Amino acid sequence: MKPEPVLLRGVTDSTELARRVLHTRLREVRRLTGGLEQRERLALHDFRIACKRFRYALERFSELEPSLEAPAKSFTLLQDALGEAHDRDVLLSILPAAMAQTEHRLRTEREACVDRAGALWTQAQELLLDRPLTFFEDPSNHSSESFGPDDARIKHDETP
Amino acid sequence: MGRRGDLTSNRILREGRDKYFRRTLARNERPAVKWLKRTVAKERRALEAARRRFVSKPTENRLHAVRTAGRRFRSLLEDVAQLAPSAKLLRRVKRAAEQTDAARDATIIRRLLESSADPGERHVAQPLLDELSAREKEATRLAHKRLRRTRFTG
Repeated sequence: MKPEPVLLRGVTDSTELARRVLHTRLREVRRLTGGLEQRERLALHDFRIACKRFRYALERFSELEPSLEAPAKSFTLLQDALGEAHDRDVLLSILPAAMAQTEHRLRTEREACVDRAGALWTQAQELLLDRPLTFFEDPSNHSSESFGPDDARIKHDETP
Repeated sequence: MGRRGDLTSNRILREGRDKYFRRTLARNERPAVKWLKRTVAKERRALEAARRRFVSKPTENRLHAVRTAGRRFRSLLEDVAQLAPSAKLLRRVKRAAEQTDAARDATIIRRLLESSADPGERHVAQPLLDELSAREKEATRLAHKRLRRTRFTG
């Protein structure tokens, strides 16, 4: 999945750069949240990759804005859960048919990982809504952007 | 003598002008670009250091370090592509990641199969475990061979 390009025309300071990158990457994550609801392999994979990109951006810019460290940590946990689900998906795709017991175990674990990811996503969203969102919020573009606190709350309520 | 003197003074003038422009550019450089240059250089060095460590001794942990540094660097280059285009470098980083994918995938899947195979089905899992183990060794050897030839320095 190709990343959404970040529009950086006219950017002059590093805070603005961080704001635009985080804004775009978070929008990408929110656009792909459906993967978590559908629980389907490919959609979940895309959501995981988007979370990873957002997490790297958070970690990078926490050098400029330390309040981004907490959401970065929360996205690390979310990514771990999604990664464990993904590993099980990969193994399930090559598992010999004669391993029914193992398959059952892997499927159960996989579902538990997705459930955990769902809970962690809810927590991560709360963390984002609490503080750092103000850091990368762009008031001038608010109407044209796909999320603001209200929009985020709606999507947040939709997550399982 | 006079001709030589002219040449020298011209050179001094040219050098002075260059120095002046360099200073002016540095002064006018936007903080975003400055921060970006520093960050790109830092992450690039981190990837190159991880690559060198893996090339000197190809262990699983060192391969993981190359992959992590590569992913971070790739994500940075993609994020700021409009401000600091670096298509060539990005291609090199992507290629390096692809070269290590197979080895890492085989390791992770083999470990997961080892830990989750039902005891009653262990004999069915064994051929797959052997295959994954062989794939892991071969893919690590290939990644080592390819990364030896790749450089991330300028």
